[in-house]
Amino acid sequence: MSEKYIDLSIAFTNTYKKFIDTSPEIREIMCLKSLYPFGLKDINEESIFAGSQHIDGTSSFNKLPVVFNPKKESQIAYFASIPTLRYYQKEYPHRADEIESLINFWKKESTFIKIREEAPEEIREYLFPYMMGLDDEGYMRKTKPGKPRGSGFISGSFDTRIAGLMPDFKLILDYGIEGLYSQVDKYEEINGKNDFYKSVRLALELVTDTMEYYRRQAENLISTADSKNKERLIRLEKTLSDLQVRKPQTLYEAMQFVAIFIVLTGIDNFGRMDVYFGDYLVNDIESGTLDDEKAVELLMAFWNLLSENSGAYDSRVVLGGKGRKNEENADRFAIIAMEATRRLHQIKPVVTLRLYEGQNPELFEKGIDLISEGCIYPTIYNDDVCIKGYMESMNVPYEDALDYTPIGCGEMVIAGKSVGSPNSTFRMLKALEAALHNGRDGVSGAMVGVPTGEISEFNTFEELYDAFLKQLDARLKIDAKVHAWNKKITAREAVFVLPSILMHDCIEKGKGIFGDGVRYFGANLEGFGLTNVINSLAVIKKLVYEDKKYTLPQIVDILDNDFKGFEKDQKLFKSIDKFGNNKPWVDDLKLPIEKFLNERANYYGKLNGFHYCTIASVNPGGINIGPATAASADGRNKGEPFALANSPMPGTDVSGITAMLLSAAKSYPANGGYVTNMNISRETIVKNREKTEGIFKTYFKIGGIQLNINCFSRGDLEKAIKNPEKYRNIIVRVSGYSARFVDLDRVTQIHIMERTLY
Amino acid sequence: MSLTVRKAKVFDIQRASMVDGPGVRTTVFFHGCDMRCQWCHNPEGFVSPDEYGFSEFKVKQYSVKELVDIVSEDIVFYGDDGGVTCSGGECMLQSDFLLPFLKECKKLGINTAIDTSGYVTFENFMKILPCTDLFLYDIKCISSELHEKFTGVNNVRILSNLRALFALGANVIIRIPLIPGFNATKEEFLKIKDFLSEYNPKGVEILPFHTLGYPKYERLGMNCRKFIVPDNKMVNEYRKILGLIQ
Repeated sequence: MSEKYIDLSIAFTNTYKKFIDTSPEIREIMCLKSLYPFGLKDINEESIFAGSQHIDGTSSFNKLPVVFNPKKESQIAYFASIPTLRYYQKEYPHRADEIESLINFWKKESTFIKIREEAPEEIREYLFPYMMGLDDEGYMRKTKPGKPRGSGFISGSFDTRIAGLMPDFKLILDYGIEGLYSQVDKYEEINGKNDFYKSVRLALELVTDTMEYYRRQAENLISTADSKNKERLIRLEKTLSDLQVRKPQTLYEAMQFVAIFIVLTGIDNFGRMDVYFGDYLVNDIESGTLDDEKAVELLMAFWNLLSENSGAYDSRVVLGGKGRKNEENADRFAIIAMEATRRLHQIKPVVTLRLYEGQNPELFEKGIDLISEGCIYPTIYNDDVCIKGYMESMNVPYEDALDYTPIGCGEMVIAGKSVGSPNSTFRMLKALEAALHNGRDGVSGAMVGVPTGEISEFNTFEELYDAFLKQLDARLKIDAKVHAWNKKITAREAVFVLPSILMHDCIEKGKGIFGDGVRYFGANLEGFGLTNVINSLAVIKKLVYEDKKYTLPQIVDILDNDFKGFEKDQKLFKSIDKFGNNKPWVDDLKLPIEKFLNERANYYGKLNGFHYCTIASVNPGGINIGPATAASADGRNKGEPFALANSPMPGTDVSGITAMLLSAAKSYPANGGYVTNMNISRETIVKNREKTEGIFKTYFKIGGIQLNINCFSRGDLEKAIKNPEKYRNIIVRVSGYSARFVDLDRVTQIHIMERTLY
Repeated sequence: MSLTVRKAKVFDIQRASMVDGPGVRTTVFFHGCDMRCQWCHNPEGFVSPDEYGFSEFKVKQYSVKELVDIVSEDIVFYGDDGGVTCSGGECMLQSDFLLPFLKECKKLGINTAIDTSGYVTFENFMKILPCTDLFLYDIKCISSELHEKFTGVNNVRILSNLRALFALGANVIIRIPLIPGFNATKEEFLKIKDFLSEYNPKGVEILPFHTLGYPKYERLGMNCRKFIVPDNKMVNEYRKILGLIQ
């Protein structure tokens, strides 16, 4: 703990004030220069790489309380962590007044505050802070739902962030610092001088200053280091010196160069790493600088660095897939990278493997090796479905769709070429609830949707279905507006100069990411609960409209009572076929809804100036949204978690793994990112490796988009609950993120245990 | 006869089975068996449904069409090796059903396998032979007194049926349960090896005893004989005796 962070915050704030009337580009880079490199974490004797922020990903306690960042606490650009400032006030009472000024200033000037406070009424009422009430500081939303708008909502937005920037590091590796200056000169000549080019040069100065800052630290440490560390520090010092004047030549140099940009930009998704590092690896091996074993060790050190600089919800490293230049070298890198993951057995980075028919089979084999050892990685994507799918959903040509990469929890972007942040949550089960209550929330009675008619008048299933689609559409319309407002105000305040260097077209155009520089600016919505929607619609379709055992009002009455006194009915509702058992009459309800969602999202997105707007189904949000959602016709009690992402409701896929995969494969490929979670026992994979692999391959062949494969021995999770200390090694993929099983809350643990174990 | 009339009595259907023959298979467990092997892990397969009591076991009736519809759901997963396996209980006791069922499966290109003890009259095999791609055929032991003691029946017809199948060129994988206290002796396994030396089975597998059946006996309110589970070392010893490994 040090007063230095208060001084840095004051310097940052003063710089902000000084440059407030210049352009967003200049102000932004000057503020960063006031913060870095002094605000960065020092290296120590054992450091292999230089470049670390102080905090782990998006944790709320930041040593640096005032920052410019894509997404500190999910808010964009200029952000102050008030709890941290309050903490400093207590620790350093003689600085309390200065800190109070900082607090008052940033309560008005934080970018997300402006986005919120300036929002027109129509948009404001869909922002979570107004739905749920503000905290005691009047700054962030309350952490628990407040009263005014009822206990739930169909969709809403709190996050102004760029949730994940997926860079193309080739844009810096191919040039080095000098080369980048030349690029700026070249395009400035074509486009004319402007503040963006000026700020890029300042940004490159910052990069060089940071390398020099760390170089001096390394130099100082060399004299007192022991022999083992001395050698490493000498290498580090030399590398940081060389990189200031030439481009990287070895894998180590390339990694160090990338690390500096990572730490200065706050970027925490790392792109198609086998593409940009593969050639360096192979050159090093051929020249004798590295062998396979040393390469794995280097990767392990780099993984630790990435882990320090990213949170569990991010940290994507994408390997494999089509469109990789020098594919053989990339393959070699991918195998080594997966070996590093296998040995470390950690939650980060999130190693993600793309597959296609005809790819070097070693990559898939290695992936299954890792999975069978319980590594949870790689998460697997199917190029043969995804490339075309994302071409369509993101409106991009084939050449760009080749670079589809999931950020964070699994929302899809084009690496180096698109941004599309999931900045609203979209609760589909709540939309069905609204359709069943003429627009009202099934728990509180508050109006959360639009009036779509009294259910007593829905004489056909189609009428209810249309009402449900109307509820979805009404929210998609407003969500796109909210995203557009977010973008508009952000662009006034910031362009993200440094990250722009890592995105195609920005330097060529002379514009930053938010200045219309990035090739494709999109938007993304996080969808929750579609599986439960399908299951519920199936029950209603059968029992009300086919068998005529109930009227729709009777069903809704049972749900409104949360099945109390209706236990037999709940049992019946639960017994109706569920998604995940390959029952076409249920499964076929899904694709048209997914298509509708993505087509309408895109329609409204384009209307609001986005290149695309898509809706994802990846997140574990179904666990914490469950409590605000009424009982549903699939037999789910009020408050119970939803199925997570594009997976069956845990325990309801009872027809075997093939049936489950047949169901999951019937998903709409032109989406915003899909994830299917499954549990498989180690015994199954190890004893029947080839047959299990065959099943996965067939799943991909028939249209399966994605798989997260959790592998553990039967009984392990139960044992882990009883003896958590002994089972810390068990890592599970909750859905959009991974965690040590024993660190999860009980509700999430149970949810994962209830997943059918194949 | 129409494919919807004749019904099979089935107590379980397992999709994505990886242990009932080559590849990925759907295994249909037919109810009924005339043997009473003391190590049987599917007692619900021979116990009368009247005696299921409050257990969760059920015997369902399926027509040929219904069963074919279920089995064909996983066609994409079968690939070159996988398909349907008829097991049980003893599926051959329902060979009148098997014939049209297997025929329909073959029409759809589904590989067919019969998992059998062989304890039926041979005409049953003749009936279904033309539409059976593979037999998974049990040899419990060669010594007939031992056989009768532990399974309740004589093995004469079992062995003669097997010889006939080999003579007719059927594809056969031999499955030998390894049960300490019953057949787990060098002597018995050498007899099996000797018996098989005249023939050309597609494969020989040892199935070590396991205890997965115990909870089922409990739920049925039945006693069962407890055997020791062979470890990997023992299984490999017997593989060596059979000449399956060096």
